[in-house]
Amino acid sequence: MFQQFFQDSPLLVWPLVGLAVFLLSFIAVLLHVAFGLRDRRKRDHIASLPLDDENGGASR
Amino acid sequence: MTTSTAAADGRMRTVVYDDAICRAFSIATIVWGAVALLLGTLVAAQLSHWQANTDLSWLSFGRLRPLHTNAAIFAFVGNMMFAGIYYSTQRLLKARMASDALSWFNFWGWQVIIVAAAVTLPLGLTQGKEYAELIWPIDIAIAVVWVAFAVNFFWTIARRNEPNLYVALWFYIATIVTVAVLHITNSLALPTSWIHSYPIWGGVQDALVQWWYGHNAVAFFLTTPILGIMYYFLPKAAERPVYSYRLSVVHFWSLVFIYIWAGPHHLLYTALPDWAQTLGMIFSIMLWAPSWGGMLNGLLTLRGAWDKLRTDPVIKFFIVAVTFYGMSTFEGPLLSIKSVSALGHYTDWIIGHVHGGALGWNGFMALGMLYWMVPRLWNTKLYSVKMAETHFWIATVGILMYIVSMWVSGVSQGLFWRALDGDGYLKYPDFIEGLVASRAMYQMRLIGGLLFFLSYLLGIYNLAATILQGSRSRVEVQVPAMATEAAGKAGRLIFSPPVLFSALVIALSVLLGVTNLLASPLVLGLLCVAVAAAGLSFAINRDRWGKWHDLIEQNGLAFTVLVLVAILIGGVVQIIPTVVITEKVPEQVRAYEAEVQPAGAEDDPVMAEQARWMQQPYSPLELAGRDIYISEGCFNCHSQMVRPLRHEVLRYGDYSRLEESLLDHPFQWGSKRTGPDLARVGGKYANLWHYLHFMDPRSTSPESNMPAYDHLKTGTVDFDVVRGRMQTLVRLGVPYSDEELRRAAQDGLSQGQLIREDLAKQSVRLAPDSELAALIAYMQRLGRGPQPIEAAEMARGGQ
Repeated sequence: MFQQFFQDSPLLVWPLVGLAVFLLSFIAVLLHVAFGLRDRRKRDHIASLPLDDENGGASR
Repeated sequence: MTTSTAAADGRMRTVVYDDAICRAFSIATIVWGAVALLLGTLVAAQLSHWQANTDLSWLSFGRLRPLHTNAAIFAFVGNMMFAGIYYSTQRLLKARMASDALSWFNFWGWQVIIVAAAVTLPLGLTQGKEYAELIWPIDIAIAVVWVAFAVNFFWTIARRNEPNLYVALWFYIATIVTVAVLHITNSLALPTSWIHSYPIWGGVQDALVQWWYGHNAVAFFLTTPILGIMYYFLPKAAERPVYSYRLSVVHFWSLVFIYIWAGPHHLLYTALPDWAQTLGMIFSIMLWAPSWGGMLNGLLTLRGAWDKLRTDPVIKFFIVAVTFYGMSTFEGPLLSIKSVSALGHYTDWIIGHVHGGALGWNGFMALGMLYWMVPRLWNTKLYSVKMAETHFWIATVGILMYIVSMWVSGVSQGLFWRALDGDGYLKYPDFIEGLVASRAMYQMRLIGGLLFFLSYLLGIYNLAATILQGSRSRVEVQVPAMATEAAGKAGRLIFSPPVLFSALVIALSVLLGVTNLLASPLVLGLLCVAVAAAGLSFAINRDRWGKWHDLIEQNGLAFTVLVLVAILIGGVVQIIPTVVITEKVPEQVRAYEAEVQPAGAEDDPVMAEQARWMQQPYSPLELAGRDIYISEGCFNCHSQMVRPLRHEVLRYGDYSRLEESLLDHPFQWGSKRTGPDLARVGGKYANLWHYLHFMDPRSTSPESNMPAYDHLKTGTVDFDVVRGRMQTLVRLGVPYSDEELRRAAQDGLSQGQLIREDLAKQSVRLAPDSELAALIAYMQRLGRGPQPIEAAEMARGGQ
């Protein structure tokens, strides 16, 4: 099946490469969300940015 | 004066936000919104009552419809987007816009572009590509203004006083980067004069690039910036943070990555290669998940505050807008399924779908934002909450009437067109029957649109009264000063394990693809090892793996580059193979015809089939007619693409091949059939029929809602201009010979003379060089090869 698909042009492999890149990135984002955003205080701070923008309270 | 930030002490800065630019864009939004809605009401009236086209050519449906769509997208939503971005960006970054001059250049440049569109489109000056109709000098102006906006935006990010980039800013970055790429790629064209050009893409290439642009204009002009606005203004109005910050991260990256692939769903069952259609369909269906994740994130932001929905009109507008977002993003993937597309494409269902997004999602978000922001920008309260409530309810009823009528009309049309009788023939062979059946729905749509417009006028009164009772605000805040982005962060990011392993895995995947998928076990083995090593590294050092996104989030440049990569992949892998493969087709066919066939070599069935369908260049008169067809906006109502579906083949003739339109700059496959498909109309009717049809469509099709084009009878074709255009097309690969270029005027007049003589036999007088003769010549050419251009050829049996 693959050979039949690619016989028209080897360029058609690029959509599959693109799909692989998407999957990798998606997994990376999920890893970040699962492990990188475990700090609830930090999450709450970023999520609250729109709410404290008129009083200038920025944090590090 | 660029910024008012000044050090108040060693660590604090005083920032005065530039709200003047937000006020200007807000007023522009209000004004252009009224224009867009007025135009929408007018074109809806033209569809239900053809008399509304009047006798003025510049007020005909074909010219006003692009003006309506451009006004709605670029004038109304565009100004709303700028207003929201300028307001929220300054506050989220705790910094004034970097350059007041660039802000105002953005504002006035955008308004000049809109006015230029309002002048040129009714004059019939268009590139003939949906949502990209504007002529090339305006396209360049758009690019310049957009770049100014981008410079100002990224410059402000670099000067920010808040280290974290909130998710709304991510959506703005994606918008800025992607719209630039889309606009430039789709607008590549060779000018023939100051007001006319031909796109460098032809036929299927143009179709793919156009709908890659068209779909992603919806995605990155009408969706991502509005999502950014949602993520900022909805929490403000609800007075609580977004429901899930984690969900917003997944929402953003999934949407940005997936959206860009979905363009081909506009071309299902067309002559676009099947693999690209399937890819577009799959990614469209995948869009369901992130879109609904975003919608739920928006709706659940109101958790614990649903009572506000009863009392606060701003919340009402926002919540209904987000609901419409959910509905549109459910309907879009649904329509992208091939079998559903076979029913819904070209019908009013698509119009209903689009207006659910434009009026429901964009319109209500704009109104909610204005009702929230205008009182604050003018330091006052909303003039009348009750009036805003009334606006909300009338507009909601208006939208629902609009959408429901288009659903009914669209599904009816789809079923009508495909209905077969017991013997397998068309049950309703006359296209006009379907149009007649839709008339009641067209009237209901007009009433719905009118309600939305009238309620908008109420909103204008309310907002104007609010502005008049208030005074311009001046917001000054003290913020901790932040050092410039540390250069070291970029290095830490590049050499972090996730980036290194991702690059390695991607490189191996590419290598696997370039070599041979099955015959490269070594590369496959290396890929497995790399994935296993990544897993091991993750298990050992979870912290470093988790931090990569923080580094990106705090580094505007890295973030922008990643977004650029994400959006480029989807476009590149679809467009490059299609362009490269189809670029060779005409050349191969010509070589086959020149060498293989005359030599009597063994026939190659594939090449023979390609040669049979391969498009030949238009004659000078036909080319002139084609340009008139585009100028009059005929593509707004007529497609030129017979899909390989039984009922279409029965109605219109053999299905359209890729080779048939390869030389078309721009392609004219169309996206809507208010009138029938024209791909094979050539030879179907006599010249007299076409003449009468253009002069008065009701004389040949009694129930037609098509405008009359009698002004074309007096218009004249300038064959010197046509020759110049042919020369430009030669540079784009259309094989006109030097002799054909030299004889352009002579051939054009000869072909016109044939039409003149044919009509004269039936006592009709038409000048051979009239625009109407040219349009008839083009109609008679469609779906057929070169037609006779001289009487002698005709006598020899040319036709």
